[in-house]
Amino acid sequence: MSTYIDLGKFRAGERLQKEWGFGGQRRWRDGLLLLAFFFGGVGAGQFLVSTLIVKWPISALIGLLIVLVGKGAAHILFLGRPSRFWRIFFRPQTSWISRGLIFMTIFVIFGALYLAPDLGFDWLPWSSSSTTGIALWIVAALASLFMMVYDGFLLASGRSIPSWHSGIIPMLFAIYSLDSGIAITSTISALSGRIETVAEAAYLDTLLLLAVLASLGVYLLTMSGTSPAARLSLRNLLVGGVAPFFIGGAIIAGVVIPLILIYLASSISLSYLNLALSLTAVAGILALLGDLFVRHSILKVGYHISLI
Amino acid sequence: MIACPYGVRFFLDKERTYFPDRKTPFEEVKYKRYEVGTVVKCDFCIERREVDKLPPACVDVCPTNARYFGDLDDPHSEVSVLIAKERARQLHPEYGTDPSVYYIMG
Repeated sequence: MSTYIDLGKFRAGERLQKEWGFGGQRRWRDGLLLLAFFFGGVGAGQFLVSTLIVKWPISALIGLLIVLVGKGAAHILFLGRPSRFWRIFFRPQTSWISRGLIFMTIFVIFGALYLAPDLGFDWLPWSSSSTTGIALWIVAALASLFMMVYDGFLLASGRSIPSWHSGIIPMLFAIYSLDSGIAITSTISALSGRIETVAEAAYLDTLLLLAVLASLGVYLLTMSGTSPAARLSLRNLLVGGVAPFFIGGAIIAGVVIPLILIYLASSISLSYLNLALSLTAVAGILALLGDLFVRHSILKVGYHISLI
Repeated sequence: MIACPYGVRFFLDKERTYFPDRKTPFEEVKYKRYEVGTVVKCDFCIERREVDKLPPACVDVCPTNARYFGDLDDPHSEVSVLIAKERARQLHPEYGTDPSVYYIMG
């Protein structure tokens, strides 16, 4: 299947991309793009969940900071010439990276303006429940939704890597982002004893973890029937070097165990409340790690199609 | 870089020279135009074309004359004639990138 004609550096067979994964020329930057995708998804998801469902401004602010500091720093450090980062803003007509950065900027600005009155800046001429506040939230929420899907579209836009060039990827990344937003909100709520938030978040987390499991199944099924490069990616995910991260980290530790822990937490009587909160917090942390592992696994199995 | 189906673009993380302590005259010219920290690709030794209308270095030194270089827009050029006469094809034409490199299929 993978016929290599390896004359020095020339490879006619399937080639593993390394620039966005691990093992490329710029070793010290390994993983930065993974962290940028992860922080972008988690932060956007947390903002949306915290403002729409659990109404918790501090948690939404943490989401904004994860995007601004985590994603922003990881992206800038990844660049070959960080001083030219501003050029990314000027290619939205062709580049998903450019679109992502523009929406990230919109998200951070409008999200901060929306949250500001609830975070001590009450002298501002709007509140979060006023018409202006709601308009600010709508823009920030739409930008956060875009941020949850754009890295999936970014990967899917590369036609030469079949395991990325799939319509499932944007959906998978969006579900993971939303789930991570819920997981981190649930963990922070459990650690700070916000019981009503924990119960609501844990219920949503269960639904989204099941959706994650279904999406992963569809993703794997779609890859099995396509090109040799996709089948190589699939084999690497299931039985190759990436399998411990994908099967062990993303599926077992990231989905199955959190589902069991949430079920156990919801079955425990109220007299063991601290134990239930601890289980929920651990489930949230594991779900977050699962998100990181799945993005890592997908980036690591990006095989280019064979040249001939 | 990631999107290129041919893997011809690469990130120039540092100046790579043939001799460890100095640049060759061609490398001197090349690194005046290339910038470390950016993505680059083969430009068919444009510095050789500009100065003396020489073909790319790889065409010049190929011991079996397996490479040809010329003007695809000129239907009478050697490369255009070869492409028309032989079984020449581009890699992955389905992607619509219309690469200027053709392979003669023997």
